[in-house]
Amino acid sequence: MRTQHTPAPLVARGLTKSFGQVRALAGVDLEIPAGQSVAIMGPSGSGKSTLLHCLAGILVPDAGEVRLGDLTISGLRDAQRSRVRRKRLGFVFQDGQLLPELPARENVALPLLLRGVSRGEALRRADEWLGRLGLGAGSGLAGRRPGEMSGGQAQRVAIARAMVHDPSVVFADEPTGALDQATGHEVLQILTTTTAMAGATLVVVTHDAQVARWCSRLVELRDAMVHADRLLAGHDDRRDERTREAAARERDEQHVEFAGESR
Amino acid sequence: MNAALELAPRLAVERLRGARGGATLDLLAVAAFTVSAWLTMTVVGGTWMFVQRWQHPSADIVARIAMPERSVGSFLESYVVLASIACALLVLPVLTLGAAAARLGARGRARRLASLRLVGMTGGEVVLMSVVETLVQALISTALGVALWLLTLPLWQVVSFHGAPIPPTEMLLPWWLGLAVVAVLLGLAALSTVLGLQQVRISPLGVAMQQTPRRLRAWRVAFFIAAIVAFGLFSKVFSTRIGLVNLQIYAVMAGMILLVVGAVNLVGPWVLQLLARPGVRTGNVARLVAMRRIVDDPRAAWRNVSAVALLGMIAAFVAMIPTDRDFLGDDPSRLILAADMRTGVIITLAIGLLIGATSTLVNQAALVVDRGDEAVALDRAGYPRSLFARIRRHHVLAPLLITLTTSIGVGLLLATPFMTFFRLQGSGVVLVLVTVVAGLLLTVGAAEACRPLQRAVLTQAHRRND
Repeated sequence: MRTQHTPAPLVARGLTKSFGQVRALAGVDLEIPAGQSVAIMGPSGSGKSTLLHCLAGILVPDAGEVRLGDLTISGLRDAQRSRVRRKRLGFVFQDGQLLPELPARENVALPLLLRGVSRGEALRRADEWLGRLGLGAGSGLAGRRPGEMSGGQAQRVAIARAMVHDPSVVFADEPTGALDQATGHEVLQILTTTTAMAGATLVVVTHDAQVARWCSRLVELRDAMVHADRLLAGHDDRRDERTREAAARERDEQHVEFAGESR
Repeated sequence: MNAALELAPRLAVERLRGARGGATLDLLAVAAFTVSAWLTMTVVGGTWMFVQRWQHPSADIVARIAMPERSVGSFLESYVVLASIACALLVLPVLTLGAAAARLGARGRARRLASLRLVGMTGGEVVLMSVVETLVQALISTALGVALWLLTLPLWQVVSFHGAPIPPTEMLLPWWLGLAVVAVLLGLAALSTVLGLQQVRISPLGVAMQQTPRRLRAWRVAFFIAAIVAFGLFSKVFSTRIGLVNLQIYAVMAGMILLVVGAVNLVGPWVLQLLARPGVRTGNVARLVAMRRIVDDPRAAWRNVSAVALLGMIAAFVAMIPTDRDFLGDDPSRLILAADMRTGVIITLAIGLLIGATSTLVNQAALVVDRGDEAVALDRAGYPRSLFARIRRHHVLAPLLITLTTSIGVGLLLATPFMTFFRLQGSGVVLVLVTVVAGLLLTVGAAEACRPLQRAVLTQAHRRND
């Protein structure tokens, strides 16, 4: 019993957002086709985190709209946006996202447990994802707590958690900010490959220019506006192909919506 | 060192001006410490009142108890013994609450102190700075607590002991005793800060390295069993040697209770850990996280409920002591003593429940702040905000239910050696039920009171990021 979300384009139109006197976004338009991996870069204060938060429905723009497929996220109430984030989106942050009292596999299973998936099934799928990311039963890491892992291992657990409920879009906010360069690149490679394999869209906010090599598109913000937006040469074209395959698979499967939201 | 002393007040003022999570935490620490100071003064004041009545009995009281003159002294003395025991039972939780308040303040500052370490302050300077800040907080709170104590003194007139109401002057402490209590409160605050800071282990490279949880050892159970066996044997010998009418029976009983209380405090965290462990195998996220927290730190969970545990036991025990004329006869001293014991227990219960609720509030508030980053991440990922409140509710209710059930059971068990004298009665059952309900309501209320702080932590994070 699992829901794989239909790949859907993420579209932002005329986004503006101010905090007091400070304008963080001044009319940003962005169209991200399903399955694309986009790196959002820019100097500090250019509005890249605000853009990610608006795209993900964490913040509501002052003007403009954000749509995921047919759904206008920016028009939803707070609780509805939370539900969309929980069900259809995945998140990887710089730090703090793993609960220190839970072992890795329970951390990964959290999104499923919140939907009312049984503990056994949720843990089985968590183990499956941990295995894919090299943290399977053989590694002895699935039962460890975040505090007993390296930064890179903890981020892989976070990626597994972001992916376990088959999201349409994965948002990553400086996911390698707390890691050394080599580990950071390894984590990014895993993140981009994993989302590509699953046919999910990836939006990464980063200050690391090297990140671009793992993404298919680079959007640069400057002074609250899109300064440059280009497809990157040599990006992984197979990604789009996989997305189409995922969509076809989606049509063939019968979907069952999970009940038990109150858990 | 001078820099530390100069910086401390400026940073404290800035934190209060900021009106964010840090300020809420400081205000909460001040409130908890005020409650602690107020209750300590009240408990010591009550005991002092009994000492005065014993040392200088008024003609009115002597007339009311209507006893032969040679027995009056020992009758009044037994009150001092009982009050001292109530005092001993309460002072420890009250002081622990004060210590928790001091630690709460220290925790709120941990992050900032680590930054100061990074810019070159020594560990000693950082600790000194924190102790200075806590002492300022404790001084303000103690002043508030003493004021509250003085203001509430007239309220005690509605309570009667020895058949006579308590005028405000009777619970007023002499200056030297008042100063001694204040000194103990302040000293404890300073000590708790130093210990609290060691707990969060401030190093230049990191803050709040949470210590790895350890499984509690089984010797705690062995000690508990030994204490219960000793109690059983002792009460058997005791009941055959001394007549039940002797007033000193109460003092000896209370002494035995104290031994069991110590044992309960040792075994309590172990039992909580044991019973919470199967609870982690659940699909309910709130319960899962709460049970993991209890298993990780059963001592912290126990600290919230230890006062209530104690009182559940006492309430169950005292509920079995008859108070009616049919059973006690017409002897005024007997009737007065039985009524006074119940009054004393009700007052002790009320104070204990207040301590329990305040302690729960302080500990949960500390958790909200400690776990701020995770809460923000989960909130952004779309986890329902009610999840945090549900985790808190499970976290405080599970230990409370376990504790109340066990302690009331132990209280009834303790009463069994005296069953020839004690019996179950309606008013006693009501007393136990009221304890359970009041304990539950206050504890849930304390957990719910953390909602504004949780909201502040989440809202503040939004602003910080943008």
